[in-house]
Amino acid sequence: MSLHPIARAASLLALAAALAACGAKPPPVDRSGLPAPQADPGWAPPAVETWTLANGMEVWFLRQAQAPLLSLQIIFPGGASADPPGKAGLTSLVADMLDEGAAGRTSLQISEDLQRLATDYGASAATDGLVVSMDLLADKLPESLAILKNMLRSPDFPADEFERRKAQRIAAALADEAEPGTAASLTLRRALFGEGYGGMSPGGIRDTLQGLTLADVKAQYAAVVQPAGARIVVVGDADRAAVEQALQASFGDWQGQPSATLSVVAGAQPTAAIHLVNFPGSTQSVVQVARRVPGTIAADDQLATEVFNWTIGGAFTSRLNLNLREDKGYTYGARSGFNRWRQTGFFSLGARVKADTTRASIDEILKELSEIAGARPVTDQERGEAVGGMLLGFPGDFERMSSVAGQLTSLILDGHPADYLSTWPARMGAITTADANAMAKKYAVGDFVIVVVGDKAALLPTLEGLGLPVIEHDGQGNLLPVAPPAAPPTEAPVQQAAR
Amino acid sequence: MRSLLLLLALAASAHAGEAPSVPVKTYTLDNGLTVLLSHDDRLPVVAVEVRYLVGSAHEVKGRSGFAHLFEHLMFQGSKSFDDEYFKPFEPIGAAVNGTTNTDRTNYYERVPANYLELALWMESDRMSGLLDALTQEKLDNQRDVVKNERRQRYENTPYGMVWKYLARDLYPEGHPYHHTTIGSHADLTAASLDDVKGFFRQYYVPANAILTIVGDFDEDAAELLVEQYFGAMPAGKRAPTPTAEIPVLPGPKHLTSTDDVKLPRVYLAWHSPALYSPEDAALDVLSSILTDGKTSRLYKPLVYEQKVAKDVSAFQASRALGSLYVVVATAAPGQTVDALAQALDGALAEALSTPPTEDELTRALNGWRKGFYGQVESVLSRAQLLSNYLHFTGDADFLADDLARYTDLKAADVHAAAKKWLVSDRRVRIDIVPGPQEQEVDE
Repeated sequence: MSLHPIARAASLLALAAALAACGAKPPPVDRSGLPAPQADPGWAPPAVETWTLANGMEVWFLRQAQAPLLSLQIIFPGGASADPPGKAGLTSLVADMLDEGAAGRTSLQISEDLQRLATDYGASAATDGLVVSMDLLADKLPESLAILKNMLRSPDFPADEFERRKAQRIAAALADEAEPGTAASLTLRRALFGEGYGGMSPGGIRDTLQGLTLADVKAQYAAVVQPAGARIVVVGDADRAAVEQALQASFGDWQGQPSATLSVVAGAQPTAAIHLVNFPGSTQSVVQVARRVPGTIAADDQLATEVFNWTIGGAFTSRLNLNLREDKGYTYGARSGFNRWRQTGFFSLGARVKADTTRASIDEILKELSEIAGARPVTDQERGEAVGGMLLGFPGDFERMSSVAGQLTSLILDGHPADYLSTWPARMGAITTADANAMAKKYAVGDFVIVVVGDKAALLPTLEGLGLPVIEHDGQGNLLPVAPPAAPPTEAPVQQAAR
Repeated sequence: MRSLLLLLALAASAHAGEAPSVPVKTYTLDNGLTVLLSHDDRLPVVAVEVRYLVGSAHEVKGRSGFAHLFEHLMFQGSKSFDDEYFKPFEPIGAAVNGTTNTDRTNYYERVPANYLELALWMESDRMSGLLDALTQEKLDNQRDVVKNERRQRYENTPYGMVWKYLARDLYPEGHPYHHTTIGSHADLTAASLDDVKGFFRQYYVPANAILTIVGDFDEDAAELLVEQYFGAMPAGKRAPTPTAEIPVLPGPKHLTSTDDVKLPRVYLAWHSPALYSPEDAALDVLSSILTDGKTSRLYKPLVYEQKVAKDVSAFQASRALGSLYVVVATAAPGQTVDALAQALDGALAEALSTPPTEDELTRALNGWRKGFYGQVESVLSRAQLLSNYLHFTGDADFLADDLARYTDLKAADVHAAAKKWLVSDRRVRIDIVPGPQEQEVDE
């Protein structure tokens, strides 16, 4: 089915067609300027249909018939923000355990059952929700849901499988501590949010994972994996009636209320400081410059910040990347972004830079922030490029069913309504240059924390000139003791917020 | 439950032989440019790929990494648009990039359907006029960028340097695959403007390229535009493809290197059959049987039961002149690299001793069959798949044949390929253990 007529503009194309009709070679190309587009075909995203199952679970369905595939996701609110204090990673471990035995089928049997269907299954905890997903052949929905029903409603939580999954989580966390990007990300969260909401990676760290018990997992499952408030996303090649029937059969009679207490944001925006993780001998440093921003519940400025962000560091041709990569050659790529959860979020700008350009890169990032909030505000042309890029790139976001389902899940996690994508083009198109500059004045100023992962001995002399305190973290993001102790360092890190 | 499973297995096998339907048209301009068109109007987007038949395998001694460095320069402006290549594309929401591997370099953009002409204008301008806008400053800048790419993706990524060791230890000096696509710092430093000019004139010519357009376009109109923008360029010559036999290792090799990692890891690597050969698919399916799912033949003993490994994976890295088959296992905390290697050897010997069961084969093939839909879901991935077919098999209309390479496999085929290629005395074992990374001198 064609979603739009191919429009014919009076352009080179029409001329070429006319010439071809009489058998002549087309004329040479005019390279005095870039060619104009043909008429905009006009396109609107397919509407999301919603309904509720008999038990109140809300379904978001988007029919997309370009391949005989379905993508299904179920979102249970809370997620990592439902982890009790000191137990970061618990909800992730609950997600891990759902396919480790259910309704009498063992972990190994479930693995094979899914493979026979060619159904890809995954479960993980985001900050604001536990997300379970399946990508499947469209004609395997009832069989896949039969397995999912058992995993969600009747997990067995065998003790030996728990010990194995917990050990795997700890091993993965340990391995990640050697990855400089992960160390930077863990440290950034701790530096900005301490022990409160958002301060920990949803997967937890070794220190918090060690203490988790099977009883913790069972209690957290009962508190989080409940139908009330959960939503189901289905995208792909299926009739609504068939989807309704299959979901109703698996979940319509499921009852229960979640009971987890959600963590809350701790403290306020921290004062400016350098947060350092030592990677001895590193030929490159990870640099992140960040500050807090409001979460999705409170923020009414998300589209305007996207325009501001595109200009400063959200695109390849953004100011930051053209400066640090295409002018200076310090990095393979520099970017910025707004990362928002429900209760809070952060705006960060960063790059992985050649070790001896670390200080210069920080200086350039701070300069870009200061300029966009002052002498070099977002121009009308930059606003036009940002809004155009986001609007005209929109249809391309609908090519892959799993990524469409992922977009809808993000909307649910952030608390947006089901018609968000339908109204988005008009709302984005209305963002003005003044709107973008208001965001620059709001978010490119104030105290920024600076995270640096690299060779401490080489970096310290260059960082001292910034006149900021240097706070050292380990690869898990934990604060290291401020003064070296007289005795050899203990293995237990000091856990306190970076304030 | 048993009867339900039987039913499912039967239902799955009923899919055998089905391939996604993708129309394909190919033709050649007078100057030798190969054109591949595939229409699909489900969304108002169109993908353009220009593939040059040159990769790191074509590089001369002392210039490792050059094909990839050159790829970066293609984004730095050309005769009639001497500016960042991304500039006209980002404001229309295009997805733009280029990639280089051992066998080819490709450039692509996914644009709104009404901007096809812009993509052809830009691609043809750099194909014909790159050198008019080339400067020493651009070369120096992108050399720095590429060295940072090397630092990011290889030097400062755990286990990232192993790809260099595998190339060095599996292929003899002088073999086109003896070095990595990213190259060495010294060779990147040595690259000159004259190198860039010579490379462009030899390889970046219509006769050495494939232009692929996939998505929502009018076929007649597109053919006219292609002739208009590309037809007048001088042909140049199709560059010779490097030739090399798949090497036979004289015996087993075992090397150890240190890296900034927390857990030891063992890599086992063998030479294996080339991309798109029948045994290539057999080894893909073997990978599923070895490491996909908790009951797979390596995951179950090593990770699930003995818990000596944190993870294990196996894959066929397919390439034109011969592939690599690689098995990778990371030690669980507290396990030594030798304990891991010993357990891996035992599990592998056991895994290769019998053919796949019918159930193992069915599960593996169901996964590969579904994967084909994913490969053609987006216009960009479809464009790259179809041009791969044309480049490496000579037939763009190869999708059904490609799927059949998998679905026609019998358990005995998979077993025979494994026995033939994964021979224990013709493999390289590389251990990566925690310690300071062995670094080459930069400049």
